[in-house]
This record gives sequence, structure tokens and C-alpha cells, in this order.
Amino acid sequence: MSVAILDVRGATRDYALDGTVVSALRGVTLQITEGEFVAIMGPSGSGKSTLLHLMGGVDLPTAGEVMLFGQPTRAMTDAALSALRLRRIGFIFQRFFLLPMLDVEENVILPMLESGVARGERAARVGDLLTYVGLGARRRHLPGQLSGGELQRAAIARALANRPALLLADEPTGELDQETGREIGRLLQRINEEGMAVVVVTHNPELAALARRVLTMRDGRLQ
Amino acid sequence: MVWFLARRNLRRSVSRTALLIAGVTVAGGLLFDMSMLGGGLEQSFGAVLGRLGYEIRVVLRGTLPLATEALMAGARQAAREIERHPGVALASPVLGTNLYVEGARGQATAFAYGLEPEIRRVVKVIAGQATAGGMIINPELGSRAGVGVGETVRLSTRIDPLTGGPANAQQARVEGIGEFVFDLKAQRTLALPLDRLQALLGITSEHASFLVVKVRPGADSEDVARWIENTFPDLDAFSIESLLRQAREQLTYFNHFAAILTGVSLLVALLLIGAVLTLAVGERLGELATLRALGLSRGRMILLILLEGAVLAAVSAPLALLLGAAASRPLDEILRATPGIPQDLHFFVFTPGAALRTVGLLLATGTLGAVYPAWVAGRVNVAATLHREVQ
Repeated sequence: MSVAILDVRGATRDYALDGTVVSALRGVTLQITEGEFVAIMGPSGSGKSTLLHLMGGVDLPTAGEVMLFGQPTRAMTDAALSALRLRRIGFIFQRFFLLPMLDVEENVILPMLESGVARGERAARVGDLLTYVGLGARRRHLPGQLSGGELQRAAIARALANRPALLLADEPTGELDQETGREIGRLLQRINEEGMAVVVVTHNPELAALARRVLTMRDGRLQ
Repeated sequence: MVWFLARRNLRRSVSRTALLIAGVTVAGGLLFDMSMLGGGLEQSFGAVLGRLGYEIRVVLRGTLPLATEALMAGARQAAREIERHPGVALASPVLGTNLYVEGARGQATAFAYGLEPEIRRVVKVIAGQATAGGMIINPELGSRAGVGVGETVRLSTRIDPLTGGPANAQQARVEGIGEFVFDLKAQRTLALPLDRLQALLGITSEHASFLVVKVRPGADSEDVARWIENTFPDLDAFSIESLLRQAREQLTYFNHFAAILTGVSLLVALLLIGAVLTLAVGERLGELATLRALGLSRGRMILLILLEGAVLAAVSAPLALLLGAAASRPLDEILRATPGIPQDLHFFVFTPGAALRTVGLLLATGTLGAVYPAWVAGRVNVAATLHREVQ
């Protein structure tokens, strides 16, 4: 039986904007189980990214509950939630957000440094990861020297550094051309086939087609 | 990770980092100079007094501790009695007066010390020798009077109004050239055996300007000075500690000056680091939100920015010490050019304490300067920032 690693129960997220309350999410309920590949689609402003942020514990619901690995995010301290993200969740962003003054290897090492992985283990893991994403020859390059596809591969390697159970990707192909987007999609599919749960927020139907479950959002609700 | 990132962030914008470090270095250099100035003169004065090899100076009550004009009658007897104190190793009378000196190049005035042989360490002989009965002159007097080692001068206490030359002059042979601890710049000085100078002045062997007292190791010079004052109601006894205390009180002007400039340099460093880090944090909000999403807690984020401030200060600190040390030399020369300053006195004195104080204050300033940007970084709304960054 599959175990739910993420359980969103009637989650609502309201923002105050110029004195009015804007509801980005309205009572969303869903579960993500171990090893799932879920794509969330929908028009801009439908609440996809807000939902992804709640799922990753970088934002908290105004009402309802988000249970991450059995723990309610609203009851957790910032330190506990950060530690959970560090060790069990990997994030990939549309704009990659690699640190420009660090080379590829140093960017990938960052989460391992924060979680206290030993030096020898770090070196072995970063080598394996960069080979895995096809950047073995680019480890000493700075982000400014890489193409968009390579940047996203490096960001994926960084997201996998602490061997998380859940990978959250926010428009991972949004900045890439079609062919490079396909390569990134295949890489995410491979990661999922090896057992990691992957949730992708995307406008790209080709990427969504790789998922085993596709959810659609509109006006802050799952269709 | 925060330590690694704090160091790596120096590379982010090399030119900006270099300019910031240059600014903090200049402020730190000034801070180091003020730290040296704050206690420098007192330290230097103490070193000069310590070099004399005695710890107490005894003068007639009511006169200034370093004055020589008033003559103490019964000085040798007082010295003998003081030497009976178990804490005293040596007590010796010293005579100080102005003399006319006539050499090959003409006539000059000079300050003359009459010294017992055992306390002639007040003179550092640099040419010739210093025998018990010989005369030592300083280079300025040698140059002015046109005499060197082995040559003879005529010494006199007054000028004959009829001839314009020295009256009742006595001949003395220069046995050595030496530097005197308390010489002012361009001062002309000589040292004679005490009895010869007494004879030249026509006073008895019991007369002297002051006494110097050396205490035994382990004895408390303050206690001995108190005992002297209690035993000899007509005498004042100044220990080096009490002279330094008086100097400290008179140097409050310098200390206030140094404290104000220290405050200004710290404020400049604080504002520089604070302004640049605040700008940098504003430019890096997306990156900081990413780090938070990757698992950096709010506390660690704050620590990262505080460390960035401290690292900037730490990189600037050795440069600030070098700059401060280099700048202190000409500044010291300017202040030492003030009339009435003994040659061996310095205003800017390097001490490990001054260097440590500078480094400590710079590190604290760097960290404090990062408090506001750290607070801004700690308050980054991760979700909203990530959302905004892709718009």
C-alpha cells in the first residue's frame, strides 16, 4: 500500500492586497504518495505555485492543514520546517536560482554542507549527481558559463543532493526551448522511476503528459 | 554552509567588495592610530622613566617633580638615610643646572647634570667612553661647540659682563658622546661627576636638585615613596606610578580626542558595511528565498548576513593595521615636533593591546553593521519572493 507523504486537507491561502482579501487557494485537498509523479496544470493566477509553496512548507495555509511526512506544517517551528525541507524535499525553480559566485559543484554541495554530510561523502555524492544529470564535465563552471538546460540540470542535482523523498518543481521548463524542456522532462521521469515522488507545476502539456496523475487548477480550486 | 557562503560572497562583486574593504581599511587604520594614541604617550613616558633604572624621584616639597632649579640642602645625608630602608637598593643625589660651554666653534648654553657614577645610565654613550670622572656631552652640544671626544671645553656658570666670555671658567675634557633620556629636540646637554659640578657652582657636596631612588626587586615603590614623605616632611617623593598617574590626568585631552576619532571611525565603518550589505541583500532577495526554500532556517539566514559583515571586517583588519602603522609615523613626527617634547617620547606607540583592540572593535563593528540587513534577510517572505522573481 502506498504511503501518503503529503496530505493537503482543505487548504486555503488568503492574501491581503490593498485592503481586500484575495484568495489564492480555496479549500484544496489532495494527497501525494511515495513514488508518485503528479503534474499540476492551470492558467496563470490559478494558484498552482501557491499550492506548490504550501506543499513544500515555504508558505503556510490560512485555513486547513498541510501534513508533510505526517507533520502539520502550521504547528512546526521555522527551524523544524527548514530541517524537513533540507533533508526530505528538493526544490526546482523556473529561474534555476543557482548562486552566481559558486561553480556547479559548489552549488550542488550547498544542501549537503547545511545538513552536515561528511566531506568524503559529499565529494562522492556530488560526483555521482553531476554524472547522473550529465554535467560531469562542467563541475568547475560558473552558472554564467552554462546554457539554460545545463543550469536546470545543475539545479536538479542540487535538489537531489540530500536524497529527498519528494521533488517539487515550479515550471522547470518555463525558461527552456522545446528540446531542452524535453530533456529535463525525461530526467524528471527517470528520477521518479527510481522511486522519488515528483510534483511538477507546469504550463507545458508535453511535460505534464509524463506524469502519472495530472491535476488542473482554476480560480484556486482543483478541478 | 553559512560560513562557506559568507566567505564566497566576497567574490560576488569583486570591485564592490574591494571598494568596501578599502573604505573599512581606512576607517580601521584611523581606529588603530587612535588606539595607539589613546595610551601611547603614557606608555612611552613610562618606558622613558623605566629606562632610567630608578623608580622614585625625590624633590623639595612644593616644587615640580621634574624641576631642577631649587636646591636641596642635605641631599647626600637624606640619600644615606633613605638607603637604610629595606626596600631601597640605591638613593643618589642629582644636580641639574644651566652652564655656558665654550669650544672650538664658540660659546653655547647647555643643561648640565651632576651625576653619581652609579646612575649614569641616564646617558647612553654612543662614542668614546664614560669613566667615573669624565664628561659626556650630547651630539647637539658637540656640534654647536665644535668639540669631539678627547677635546677640551671651558665651562662656566655665568658670562663676564666685561669680556663677554665665561667667568671663572674651568676646563673639562670630553670623554664621550651620549644621548640623554630626557633631552628635548635640539637640546644641548652634558653630564659631569656630581662633585665637579658642585664645585663649579660653588656649592657644598650636600646640595643637589633632587634624589633618585631605586627600590629592591619585590619592594613596592609606592610604599617606599610614602615612607620617604612621612620621614622627610620637607620632601616630596614621586614614584613612576604616581608620575604616570599625573601624566594620565594631564593627557585626558589626548584621550578625549582619541575617543572621539575612534567613535567617528567606528561609525564610518558601521555605516559602510551596513549600507553595502543592505544593498546587497536587496539585490539578492530571490537567492535568499531560494536558500530558505532549500532548507536554511531563518536563524541561519540571519547568521549568514552577520557573518558576511564580520568576514568583511576580518579581511579589512590586517590591512587596517598596516595602514594605521604606516600613517602613525608621520603623525607621530608632527606631534613630536611640538616644542618641549623629549626626543624619546612618542605619541603613537604600537602595543599588542592596541592591535587586538582594533581587530576586536572592527569585528564587532562589521557584525553590528550587518544587523539591519540581517534583519531584512530574516524577514524575507519566501513564497512571495519566489513568486515575484519569476514574474
